[in-house]
Amino acid sequence: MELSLHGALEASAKKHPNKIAYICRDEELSYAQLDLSSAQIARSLHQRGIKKSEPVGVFLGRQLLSPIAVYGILKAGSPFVPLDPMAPATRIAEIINDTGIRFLISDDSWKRQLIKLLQEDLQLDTILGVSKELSSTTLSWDSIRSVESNYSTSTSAEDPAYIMFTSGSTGRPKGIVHTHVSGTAYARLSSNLYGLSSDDVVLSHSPLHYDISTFGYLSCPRMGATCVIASDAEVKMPVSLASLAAKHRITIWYSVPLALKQVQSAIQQGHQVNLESLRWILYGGEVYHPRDIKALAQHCPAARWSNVYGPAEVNQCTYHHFDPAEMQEETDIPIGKVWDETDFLIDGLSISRDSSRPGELMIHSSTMMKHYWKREEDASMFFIDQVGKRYYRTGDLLSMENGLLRFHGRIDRQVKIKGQRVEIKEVEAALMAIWPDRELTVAAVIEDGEKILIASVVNLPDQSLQAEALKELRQVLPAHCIPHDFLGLDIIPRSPAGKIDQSFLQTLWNDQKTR
Amino acid sequence: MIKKLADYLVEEILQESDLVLEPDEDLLSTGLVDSMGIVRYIAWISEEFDIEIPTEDMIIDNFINLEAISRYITSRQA
Repeated sequence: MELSLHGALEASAKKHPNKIAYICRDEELSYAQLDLSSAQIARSLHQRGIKKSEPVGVFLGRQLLSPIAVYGILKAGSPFVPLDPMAPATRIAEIINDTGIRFLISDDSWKRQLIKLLQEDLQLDTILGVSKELSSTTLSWDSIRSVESNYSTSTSAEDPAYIMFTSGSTGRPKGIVHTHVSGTAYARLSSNLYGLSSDDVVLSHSPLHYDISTFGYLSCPRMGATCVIASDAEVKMPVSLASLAAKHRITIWYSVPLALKQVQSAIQQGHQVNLESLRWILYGGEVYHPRDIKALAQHCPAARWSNVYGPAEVNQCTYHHFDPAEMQEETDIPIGKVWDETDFLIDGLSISRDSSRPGELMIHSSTMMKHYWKREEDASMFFIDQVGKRYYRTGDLLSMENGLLRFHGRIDRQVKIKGQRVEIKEVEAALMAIWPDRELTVAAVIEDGEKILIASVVNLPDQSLQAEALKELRQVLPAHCIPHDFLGLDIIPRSPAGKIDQSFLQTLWNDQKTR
Repeated sequence: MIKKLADYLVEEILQESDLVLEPDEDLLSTGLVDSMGIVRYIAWISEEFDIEIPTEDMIIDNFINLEAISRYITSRQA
């Protein structure tokens, strides 16, 4: 029988208590300390009357308290709900109310954001980790550290372990419910695939609310590896980020391509960056151009590369390992093959040979979510059941060439900006709420090799009104969903079938930029 | 100098004119300034104080709070 996610941490803490589990900035946490501190969180939650499987919010950034909060909540028998403290308060409040969260774990450094959040209508019981009296009851880290540290509760494998919220096309965030089964399956399969061991030092770049974080937060503790959390400050300063590799002798780097491009730009501008300790570079979330990969690969000759693919609903589900030296610059990197305990359909058909016509990928895997939060009834919208197996409909279009899966875009209008999902319809709806009498469309265009969002508007209002509109959008949408700029049009370019002409928009955008 | 640095940050970058920043308040570790904001802020500092800011100086220690930024500017002007 597989352990629960926190059971895996407890086993590692018993095996090597003094080994460093997490490092962030100049602080570190041993396995014994992590186990003890998280048990104190669990006990504190229990003392406050937490109910079994009641979701608990994590209102923290890329910091050492995050793994303590995660394992504390798991030990209490509850799923953790990562909240992005940078998101607009209205959006966070919506998630808190939708999941019925009564307990939040945070710390004083997020005071400004908490004050804003508490102006929303919430049914909170206690905010843990905050010393100042805000509006509801708080419990300081000092009081948490003074409670007894032995705590246990029984968890069954099918209990929810975490709920990750992602952009939904209806404008309401969707909660992806993972269980101890799916989370543990991800930790096991990813550890096996990359040979993760207690000798490894993993760089974790993603914030907790983004699914790439699961390698650092779930796989590392299982294997007794050390995880370096790139802090929010380091992430904003490319030179500081790049120097983490040599400082901690990182062996596995996992991030979105953007972070690796920042490392590359630091090198390009003459900064000395030592990447020799890297044995794996894992990236995912969006396309990474072979030209950029080749440029960085010169500086880390010992590293193998792996393109990671999988919607947050299934965690990872495919991989493609490659050697940049043997790669052709003009072809996109395939997303490769499905990993263990996983099989797939394309447009409902089982594929055993090459199939060059792109179709929708449907995935069945041990790493798959159970359902969307409070959407159990809508299973048929998101899954198809075939020969006794449940497949998740990814909405991604894939083909198979030479036995390798290749990505060809979406069946709907979802795009990825900086590795994060954006539902175009959601952005359009938010902008239309501000300019109800304008005809407009939102699209992703390419600028300097990066995807950016632009809003094309017929009879575009003047610049001061544009700035006002952006300000209003920031009150309701997270940063990656905010249009980068506006494009004024006489008419929205559409095909006879009513589909927006993407390449024409790109041309208009290029024209505007060169003018 | 700290007042000038604070005013521009609050009004132009954060666009929250009623915000009061402490000189030692961490600008980077919390959600105060995002990554685009810090890039714009550094560009303004470079122009406003007429200093060149090489990439290797764009590290946490130089930009963590208003005090640090002010110290850094003074050292570059020397």
